[in-house]
Amino acid sequence: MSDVHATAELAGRTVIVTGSGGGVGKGMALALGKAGANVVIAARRAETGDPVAAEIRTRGGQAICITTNVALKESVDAMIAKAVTEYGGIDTLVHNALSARATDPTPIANVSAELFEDVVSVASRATFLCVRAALPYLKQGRGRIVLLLAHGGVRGHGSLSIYGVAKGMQRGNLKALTWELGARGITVNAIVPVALSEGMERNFATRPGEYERQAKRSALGFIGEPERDVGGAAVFFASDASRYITGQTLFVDGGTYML
Amino acid sequence: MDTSVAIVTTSRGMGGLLALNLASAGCRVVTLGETPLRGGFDHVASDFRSRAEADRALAAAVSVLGRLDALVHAASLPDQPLLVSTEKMSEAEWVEASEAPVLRALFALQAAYPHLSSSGGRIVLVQPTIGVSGMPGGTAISSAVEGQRILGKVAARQWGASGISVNFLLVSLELAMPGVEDMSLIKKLAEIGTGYVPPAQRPVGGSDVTRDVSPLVEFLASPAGGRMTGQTLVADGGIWMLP
Repeated sequence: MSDVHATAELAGRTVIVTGSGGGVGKGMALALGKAGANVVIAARRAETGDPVAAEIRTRGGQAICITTNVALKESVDAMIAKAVTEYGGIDTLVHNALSARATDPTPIANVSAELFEDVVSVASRATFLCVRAALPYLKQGRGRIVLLLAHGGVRGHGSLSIYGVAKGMQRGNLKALTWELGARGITVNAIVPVALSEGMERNFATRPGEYERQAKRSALGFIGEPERDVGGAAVFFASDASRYITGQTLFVDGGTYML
Repeated sequence: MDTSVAIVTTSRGMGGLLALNLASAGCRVVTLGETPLRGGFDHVASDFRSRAEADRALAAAVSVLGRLDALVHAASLPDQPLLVSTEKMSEAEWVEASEAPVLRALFALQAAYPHLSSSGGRIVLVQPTIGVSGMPGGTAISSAVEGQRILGKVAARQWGASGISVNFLLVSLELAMPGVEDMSLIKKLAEIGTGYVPPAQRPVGGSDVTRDVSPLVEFLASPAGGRMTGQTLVADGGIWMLP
């Protein structure tokens, strides 16, 4: 890992990252920690969240893990309260958490109300719950909200049916929030990532040629790294460099999809 | 136009006018929704609150029509409060305004699918542009609209092999949401940002359901719509233009 983000530009700022016990969330948390932020690892399980917070501290950064179920109001409110007690406020909220069933391949013709509830509650409803809870503490003029979305939430998906719908719901919310919060100097942006998760790596290990097949979907010909590539976008959106950017969706995907 | 069309409507909104205009164009029309509309159409009462209920409603509509060529989903967004900040919204209000409309549309599409796939067919969803433009104080409904638009794209991708086309028509806010006919609200919306642009400030002015929207719905619902699928047409007087 290079030191591309080791600039301490986020020193003194507090960033919450939901779903940061692994994958893209963990990568962003590590990058934000390296950039000097106080990082709140809001993870469903302490077994995955604690090691990420420990790694940030080992590298000389500031981080705590708060176990959180983002689909439950009480859990979200408690997480926000604890983050504020620990660090005195919130500068950036990054909502990345996903239901384990988000990638369920059930065809849209058969998606049940129960699957809809499971996926939408962690994606779209949790966006509402997290934003509502964080708003009183997001600092005037430098508050930042970042949502992790997906290609399927923009173009629709041939197999990940309800995942795309949930991500679309988040993107509609994002655009309205942009108008709602602009006057407070709070920006709202989205990242659509393509990056190697632990699950993808396990998958590739058992399927020869699969990495190459998926990597070819991007113009750059490789699959991004969570910390280096998606982390860079997260640090940018959390920093002053993005002050005048809001309502946008940034595709960090090696050129897989172009608007 | 020899087309059998089921139109999902709400007591307020543009479904009634669409039904009238499609019938005038020669379509056989059945409306579905909680409340029958004026115009003397065959109506199937349904709240689309569950898959089983949607299945029952579509089966009843098909028994009247004989066959189903097109589903037009023109349900107005619920009478949710407008201009409500996120901080003042309860979780229950969020679920009702953001999630319930998407779930009802999902059930309606799922229920129509087996009837449409026997002969190929067309699905048209009609909603306001706020899902793509955003609107201050409209987080939940913007979310509901964009969720339905992506639902349409997912269905378009997955049902194309069955000969089903799914397209989306975006119209101006006041046509899709009768609640904003309150002029003071429109004025307030216009002052806040470009989430709402008054008709006089639109490139081609205000829109009319009969003159501007019905012909497009008729086209998308008919075989003339061809193999176009997964697309979003914007008929809002020129407020929002694709990047």
